[in-house]
Amino acid sequence: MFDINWMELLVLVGTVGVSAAVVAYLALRMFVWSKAASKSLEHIRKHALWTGVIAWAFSGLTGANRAGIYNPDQLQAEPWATIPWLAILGPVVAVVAVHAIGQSTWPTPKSPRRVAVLEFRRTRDYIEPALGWTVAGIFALTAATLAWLFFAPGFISATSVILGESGQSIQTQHGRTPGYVLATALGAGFLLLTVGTFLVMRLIASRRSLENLTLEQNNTLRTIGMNRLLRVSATVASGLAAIAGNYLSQPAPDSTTTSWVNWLAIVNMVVLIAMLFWKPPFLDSPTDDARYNTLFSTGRAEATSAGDGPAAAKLSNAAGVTAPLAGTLGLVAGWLTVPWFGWLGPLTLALVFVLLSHLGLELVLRKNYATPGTTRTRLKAAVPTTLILAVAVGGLGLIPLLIMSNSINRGGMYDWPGFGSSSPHFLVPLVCAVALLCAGAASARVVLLRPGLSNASELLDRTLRRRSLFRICRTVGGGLFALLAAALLAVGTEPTFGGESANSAFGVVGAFALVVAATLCFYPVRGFTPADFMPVATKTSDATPLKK
Amino acid sequence: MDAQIVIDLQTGTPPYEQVQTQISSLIAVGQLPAGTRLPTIRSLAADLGVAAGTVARAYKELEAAGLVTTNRRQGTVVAEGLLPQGAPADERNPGATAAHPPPPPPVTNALGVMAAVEHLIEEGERAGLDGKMLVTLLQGRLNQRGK
Repeated sequence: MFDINWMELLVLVGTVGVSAAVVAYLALRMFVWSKAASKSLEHIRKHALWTGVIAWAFSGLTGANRAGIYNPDQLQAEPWATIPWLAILGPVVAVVAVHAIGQSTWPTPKSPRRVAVLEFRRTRDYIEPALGWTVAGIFALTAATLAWLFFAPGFISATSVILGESGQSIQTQHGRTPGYVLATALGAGFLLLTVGTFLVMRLIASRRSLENLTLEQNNTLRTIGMNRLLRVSATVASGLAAIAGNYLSQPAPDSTTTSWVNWLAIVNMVVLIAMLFWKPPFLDSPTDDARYNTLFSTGRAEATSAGDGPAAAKLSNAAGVTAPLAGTLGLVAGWLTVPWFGWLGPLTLALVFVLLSHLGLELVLRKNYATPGTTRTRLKAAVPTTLILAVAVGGLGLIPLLIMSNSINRGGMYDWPGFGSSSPHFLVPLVCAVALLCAGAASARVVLLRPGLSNASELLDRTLRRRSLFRICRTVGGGLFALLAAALLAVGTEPTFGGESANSAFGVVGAFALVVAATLCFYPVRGFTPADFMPVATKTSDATPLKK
Repeated sequence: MDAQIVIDLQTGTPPYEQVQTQISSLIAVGQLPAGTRLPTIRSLAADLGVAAGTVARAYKELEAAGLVTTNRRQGTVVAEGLLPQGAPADERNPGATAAHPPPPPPVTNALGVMAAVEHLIEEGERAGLDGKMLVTLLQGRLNQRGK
């Protein structure tokens, strides 16, 4: 276990996390936030959330944890060489820049009729007092630590052997730069962070209001932006103090201490956890329905009723629990098929079980909230074109690949597991694809043929259908891409017996297809909007009598 | 209720003039009392989606008319000391010149006037008249009175 450098591992995880966050953000921007929905409350909530998440992902200072400390085997002590400038300044700049970009990219007013409230917006109006004072305290602590650090003496890294308390010889190899060197570097980062945070706070207060939000909602959105900025800035500030703490806690070369505690790092962990859970306010919706507000934790009082809407929505949201459970069950069941289907067995059965869980939920929805005979709402563009395209590419791409995989030279060494050496290569992926498509088609059929919800708005009915179809399509699409990946990997790594070696490009494309498959399977479904829960009385349909 | 202004970019009236007239109207009816801090030029321009120069020009005109004052500390603030109607013009604004006429006197029954305006709009909507027609009617009546 001591061979592993956990810090390096953390940096690696951080880099992967950042990359994942960026990819997810780009995916959301390109596919989920369609132009039509760009002004919806859900889109605005997501924009605010992802700005915070990406800034958080970039805020890691792990790479600078040994700043100001000489390597034990360093022969010549060069103080400034111990400062990882990029690791110190990079996260600071990234945090400020991401928030500045997030605040500057709200949509501009498009209508020729422009409305503005004549209010003088002060920065402090949007800071939650408790958070503001906590963050001010953290910044003050960091400033004090850096001031103390400035006067800390340095000592040269030198191997020295001293006698311990019980007479044993101890070899020490600790050395650090003079304090002002690290204090200058951390001070530069801290100054940048303070000024940057202050400027972005002013930007949050002065930036344009969104034309489709009320005054109250605009103010809440500014408070959310301020909350997310201050939380991540406080974490970075305490991280800078933790780096200083690591430096300050280093024992002198002639010390008999063999272990030490960086108390500022513990403070940093406490700050990190506290800031992680310091929730921003919720961008409130115009509905006063208590069940809707319970669903979204808005804490508003009940005034009107949206019928079965919130309960049906809650049931639809239950897919977030049932699908992973069903997937796990499928994985376990699929394990039994490994001798015949290889790794495609658990994968296919997991996805089929997920599809069946969607089918089951839809049946429960039909039983509880839809009366047979109620007119179905018409769906236009039920599933995003990009998703349909993905399913089509996965399905059609599989056909030539299955043909190609059939011509793989077996030679007795290489085969799909199971089905014996005499069975054709295309059989396993083909059976899996057929199982997936059948389960998907059955689920989609139930969704499309379900009667309309008896006591909920038509808009919600359409939204629920769209969400279900989206889930089904993404699962089928993901499964098809996984099968495509399996076929590509098989073709790209086929064994050769004296002939031309396999084209490894297929393997690379296969790995890419596997990433696409994973992305599709976990692609987030569109959330509800308050408009979905408008009371039933607002239904405009005159030709669809509701049956109880 | 917070004071709002609405500008229409499709009308022939320049945006700066729309901003200026609406703010001066709000000051006149007391919706923006003396000492009220107006939004900064940048933030109002951002909210309206117009150039900062447009709002700056409107504020400049308002300042020239003595309706607002601008200082470094507080920004643009509705001017104090707008004396009631009846006071001599030179006392209301000693610095008034031909180029910059004195500010309009404050309305004594601002709430009543605003209620009447709201009533006019509601009645107009009930009668199926759109905003443009209402403005035309009002303008016609004002012209008749002017004669």
